[in-house]
Amino acid sequence: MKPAEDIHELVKKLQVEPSANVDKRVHDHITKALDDWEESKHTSWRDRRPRIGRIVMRSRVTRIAAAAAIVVACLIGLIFWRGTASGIALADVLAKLEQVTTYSYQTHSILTRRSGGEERHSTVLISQDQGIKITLKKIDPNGTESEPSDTYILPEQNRIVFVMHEDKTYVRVNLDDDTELEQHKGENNDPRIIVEKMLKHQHNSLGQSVVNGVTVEGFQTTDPNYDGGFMTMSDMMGKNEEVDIKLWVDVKTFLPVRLEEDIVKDTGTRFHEVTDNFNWNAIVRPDDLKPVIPEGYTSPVPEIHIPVFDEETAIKGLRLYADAAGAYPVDLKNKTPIQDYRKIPGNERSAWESLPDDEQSRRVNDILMPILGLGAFYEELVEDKKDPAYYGDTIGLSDTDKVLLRWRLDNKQYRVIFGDLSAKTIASEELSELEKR
Amino acid sequence: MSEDSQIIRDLARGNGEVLRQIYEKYKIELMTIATALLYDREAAEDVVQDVFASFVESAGRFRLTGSLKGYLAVCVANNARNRNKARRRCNAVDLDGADSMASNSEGPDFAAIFGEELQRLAWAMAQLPFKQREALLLHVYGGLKFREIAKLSGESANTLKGRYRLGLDKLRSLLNSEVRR
Repeated sequence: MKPAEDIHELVKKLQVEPSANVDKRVHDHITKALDDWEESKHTSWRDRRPRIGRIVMRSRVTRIAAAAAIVVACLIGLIFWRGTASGIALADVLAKLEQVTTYSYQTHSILTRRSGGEERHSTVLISQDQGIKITLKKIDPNGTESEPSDTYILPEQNRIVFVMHEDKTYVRVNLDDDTELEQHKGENNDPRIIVEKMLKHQHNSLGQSVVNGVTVEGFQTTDPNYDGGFMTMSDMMGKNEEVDIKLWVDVKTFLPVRLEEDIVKDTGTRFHEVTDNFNWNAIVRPDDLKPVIPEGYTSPVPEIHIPVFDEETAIKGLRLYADAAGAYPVDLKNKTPIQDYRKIPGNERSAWESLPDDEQSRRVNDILMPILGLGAFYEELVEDKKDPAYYGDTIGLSDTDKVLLRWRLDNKQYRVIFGDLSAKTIASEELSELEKR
Repeated sequence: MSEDSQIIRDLARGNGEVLRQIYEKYKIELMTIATALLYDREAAEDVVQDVFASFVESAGRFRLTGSLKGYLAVCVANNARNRNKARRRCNAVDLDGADSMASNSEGPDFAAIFGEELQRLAWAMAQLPFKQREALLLHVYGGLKFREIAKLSGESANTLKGRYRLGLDKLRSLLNSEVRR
């Protein structure tokens, strides 16, 4: 009898090479993708939206409402995700959804952390033309619901409004970068862009089943790299370790009936959500999406501003980080600066949570936002293929004339931020000399 | 830092040209897995192309949590599984629920696909149910541990290990019986 090792060796001998035609098609695809990246000067509104969620999530004042925004983003994304090899192609679902301009649904969420958990119930109303309203209630261990909080997402005004009835407070978040948002207004709430993202990940059919008496077709993805709204938004809670998303679609209407999400983060945080009670083509009256702030409600902060992700914000973020840490962030990739900042003694989330709400809010606006903006700025440079390079792992505050961060402006020039946080535009040929210092 | 980690780091820094490097590095292994799962060269080429197209599209956001080869191998397996299901539905070949290629009397031309030397192995592997073949290929050819496959595919490591063992036993039995003939 052949031992397993022999069979292993035999199997490894199998080799099939793709034809030259496939090689060409793949390389052509890569070429086109690279060209598209080059041309893509701006990321989409949806690419930015998660950052807003990450930012507001850090404030205790807005945490509850921000969680509601996450739910919306999650659902906007996930209910339109497409699968393959099924009796229903989700492309058909997408085509159907594109005809729906108003809809509502309900979500039940359970979040479990090592330090405890939370249970929430939310109702969401979406109008493609007017915006989104989310009403969220927390549920205590006895099953008692809290006073609701309302979140209004108003794309036409570049504004998000949170109204917390339990605290009788409200918060307005304005998006400073009107220019960038202006060009994305037309895309706002357009599920097609989100679907395109969902389609990039592996998924499979679950076959047919019955949900609440409705015959449905199921689709599932378990790809940990899946970056649908919810997972992108919750990225700061850790990296995905386990992902299990199931979408059940009515085989007659091709519209979602139920969405189940289970996500485990490497931090041990676990999310479980069920979304159902979809009401397609819901009636939306003009006042339904108009923020209602009852008399007597106060705002703990005048406004929360999402900063423009530009050089000025990046320098401010670097300065704030260096002031606290005595060094620059070692890396700007992903959320490294803000994650590392939170590890500095006195800046841990737990340390801030004991501060008064107004002080927390001030720190969010004045400190966290620029540091988050620094990371977001670098991400944009990468996404826009601006040839960025960052040397925070070797450059310190005393390296005044050495390159800390640089990116390409055009074919002939680079923009450089030095160790003393001064900035200068230089010719491309000067860069290599500067970087040798 | 591993070579793959460096590649992904380069990718995240905006060097999209490394995508070509990734394709050239892994194309034969991925094509072999797809072919050994589907026994249809044309369909296997479509799988490899689809997987790379998806990978290219999501490359800017890709986060490497294990081996890059393993990730791509599981993507190929998932894609091949979907195609296999669709093919079964269309052809209604699999009347008894077994999803091996054995019931196909015509059978693929193993020699044409894998060469004369390995046609017996290819034939034997084609007798395995798809899921056993998948577990075997991902573990042996893709170099993945069962817990890595489990994490990427959403199935339990024990289930995958069981499929692998069953597949290996059947393969061993088929190859030995062929030798004795």
